[in-house]
Amino acid sequence: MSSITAKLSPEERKDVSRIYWRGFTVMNEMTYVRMQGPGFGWTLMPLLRKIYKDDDEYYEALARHMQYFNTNPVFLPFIQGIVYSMEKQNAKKPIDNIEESVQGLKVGLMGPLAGLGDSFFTGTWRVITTGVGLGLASKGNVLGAILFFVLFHVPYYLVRYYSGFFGYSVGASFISKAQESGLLNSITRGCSILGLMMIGAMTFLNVPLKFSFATKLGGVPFKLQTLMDGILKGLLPLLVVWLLIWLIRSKKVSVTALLIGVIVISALLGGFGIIA
Amino acid sequence: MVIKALLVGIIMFFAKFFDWGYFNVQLRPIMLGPIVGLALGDLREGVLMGAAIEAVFLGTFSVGGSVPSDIASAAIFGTAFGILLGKGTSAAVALSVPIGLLANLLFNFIAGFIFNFVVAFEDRAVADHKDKLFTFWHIFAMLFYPTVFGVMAFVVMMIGVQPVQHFMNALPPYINNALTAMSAALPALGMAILTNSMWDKSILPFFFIGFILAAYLKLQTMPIAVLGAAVAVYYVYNDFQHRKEIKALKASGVGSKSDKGENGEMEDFLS
Repeated sequence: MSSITAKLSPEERKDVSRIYWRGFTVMNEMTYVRMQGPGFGWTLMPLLRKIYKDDDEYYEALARHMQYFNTNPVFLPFIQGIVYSMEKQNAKKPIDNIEESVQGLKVGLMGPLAGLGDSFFTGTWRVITTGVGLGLASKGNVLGAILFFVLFHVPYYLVRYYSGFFGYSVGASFISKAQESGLLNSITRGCSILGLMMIGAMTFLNVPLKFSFATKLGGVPFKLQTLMDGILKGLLPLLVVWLLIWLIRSKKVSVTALLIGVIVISALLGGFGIIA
Repeated sequence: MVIKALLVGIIMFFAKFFDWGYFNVQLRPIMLGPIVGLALGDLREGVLMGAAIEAVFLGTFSVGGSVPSDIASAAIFGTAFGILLGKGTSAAVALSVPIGLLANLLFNFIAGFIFNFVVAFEDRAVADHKDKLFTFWHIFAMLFYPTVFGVMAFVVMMIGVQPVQHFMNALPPYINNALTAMSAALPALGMAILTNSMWDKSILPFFFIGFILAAYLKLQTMPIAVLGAAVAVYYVYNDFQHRKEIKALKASGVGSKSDKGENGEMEDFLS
């Protein structure tokens, strides 16, 4: 990692860490129209001021970076780094159509990087660390929460910090190469393997659904849950989860409809003493 | 009660501030539960309730800026009501779901309506060459959103606890059973949403491997995570190697026509 930062001059290093720290405010004025756009412009403000001495050029550059923008914040410094290096070139020797090329670059990168960030950090890493934390927390141990906090956030902030230097020095070519060679796809799939294993485990560990229905069959006590356990432990959670997956994927039922459905049906079955 | 309501309001302010205002911390129910528990004097209950609410909201996260439910409100109010009413974990979970949906309306009002004006003011500031004014509105938005939620939390705790308590006490036992069943069933939806978000037919078997490891080998999540990571690294290496070989083959012009053979039919069958 230090090899990434070593190539830069102390001043450049200061600049890139400055956008890292300002980048934490990118969500401030989040709207559904421009998303993180205006926030992105604000994070670049002091650097744009530094490279554009002319007032008109500076405000033009600032306005250019307030347009629609949205990505997973973990790779925000990466894009900021690339954009800053581009603007720096433009300040030295104007690039043709800087407006279009820099906006095209941002829009082109924010999609794949949001996908990578969502699938790795939000989708997989969060699920794994939560799963590990839940193991302790669901027994009442506060260490579970601390474990989640540390395990999730240490790699998150390390990646976030260094991705800025990486973006500034290596630039856009790396991501397009990784996308073309399929490395990005391989990594995403690897993450999903780990994620699916955790979700499978948590389906058993954290969905405490079971049958409470009990009766007597010809004088012999009969418990539905005992029968189910004989077939497969945790069969009911497994069936419910896959029924829901099927409804989401094949029937395209919205999550809100499913939420209401799950509440109503489980409340009814619970009220009648069938499940607990 | 004023002190407790104030503490909950402050927790809400900082939960929102560290999530969106600065640092972008993932303040999930698993963390907010213990914090609320500590503030209200019952850490253990807070941990348990936070964990139970986390299991429900595990599948709920912001993708591309659309937030289906306000997770911080769900966790904070769910835990606070659960502890103050003394109704236990299932009541905390049952309350957290509608609260999360309701609080999301407030979020949508801010992000969908109020902040549009803030952005318009910022645009004008930049057009007028006043970057200090832009900074002012940026900081304003940074504090406005947490403040609105903090005040809302304080007000809800001040006026909401007693009515909810009366309501919960008046409930007959079969409603309690219904709430328990609900809190047991809801995490299933979280798991389904997560599975859908990583949907990839070729690796679905790993879901069942994880399930059996937990159900029959009694493994906890940490050893399963380590095992899964080992498999994932092996897979990424081989998959990437495989892709490179295919690319090399394609480059040399071999097998370009018969590519769609058996594999294509298999794909059609499975999809």
